[in-house]
Amino acid sequence: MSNASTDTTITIVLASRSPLIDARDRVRELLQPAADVQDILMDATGLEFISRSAASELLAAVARWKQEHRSVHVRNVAPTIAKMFRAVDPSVEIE
Amino acid sequence: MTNDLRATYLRALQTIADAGGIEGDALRPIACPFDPAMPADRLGLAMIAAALHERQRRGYAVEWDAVNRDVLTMIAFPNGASSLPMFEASAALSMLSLIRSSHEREALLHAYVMRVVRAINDRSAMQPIAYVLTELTANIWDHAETERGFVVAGIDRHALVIAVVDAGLSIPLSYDRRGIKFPDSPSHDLAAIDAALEGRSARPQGERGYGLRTSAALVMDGWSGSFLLASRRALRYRAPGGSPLGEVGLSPWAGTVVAVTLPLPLRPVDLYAYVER
Repeated sequence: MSNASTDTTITIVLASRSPLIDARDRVRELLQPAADVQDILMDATGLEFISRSAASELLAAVARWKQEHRSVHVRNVAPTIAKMFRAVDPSVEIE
Repeated sequence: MTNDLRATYLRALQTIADAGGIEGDALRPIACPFDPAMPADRLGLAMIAAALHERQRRGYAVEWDAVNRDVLTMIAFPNGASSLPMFEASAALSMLSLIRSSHEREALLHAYVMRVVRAINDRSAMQPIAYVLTELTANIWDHAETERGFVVAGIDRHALVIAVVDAGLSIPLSYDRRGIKFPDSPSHDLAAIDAALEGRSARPQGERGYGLRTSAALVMDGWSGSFLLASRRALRYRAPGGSPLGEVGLSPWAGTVVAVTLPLPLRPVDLYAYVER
């Protein structure tokens, strides 16, 4: 599965390489295509595990994008992934 | 003792030192005295594999001796499985050789976690086992400035042993690169190890380092396991019910070694209670 994008929107498939995201560098690679995109959708379908450091990197990117007034949504988040996000940032809102 | 990580670590250090280390004019084949049927011995195998890889990387021959050579080859010693086809063709808990830039790195780690979970017959352990393995390997990519790390696991009826080994930048040198200095004394390396275990991050933003601290807490408090962290000339080790043991002035290990012993069956743990600490 690959990421799909237009000029203004992109869907990033978080489990495109593996059901597990292990580290910060992989999150940076995954999110790189969204660098200049206004509307970002992250699809967590099939993602079974994200490490704490990877979750921290991902949520930092989301916070940065929101500060830049970009639209960011994460969908199909498994309960265990949501728990990790909340462990990293208790104020995070998961759809 | 079957799963004495400290004794295995010291034995592997001595074995590598006896063979001349990893570079120089006096290198000899590394004798491999470890038995993969003994879980803690897998730690020694990973250290020798890392030492052999460092020799190769520096242009030296890769030579090793063992009486159980065929058995060791079955678990992908000494190169480690570094791709999914290699891993799928290897024995159940073979040795992994993770490569930072490989697009299969995460898939390999996921496959390894699932094999460990199947080996201990405990699907509920997937998340906490994945947590320990990802946090320990992430430290290699974040701090060790090396392209490769070795992962091994071994089980018997009583325990699961997991070890993550790299021969990259040691913990003291990683702090040094970030301008964090420790007093120049024989205990310098141990102070750096303790700082890592306390969560003092070597990352540039100065934020807390969660990986080692929370993994150690999960292993020791959650599972009543033992935990060994060694880097350069020091080690910190704690066995269940014991006080933390520190040793300094050892033969140097270039990078970092982390190994844990977890008593089986694993006690159920709430992973996120440890992550949030």
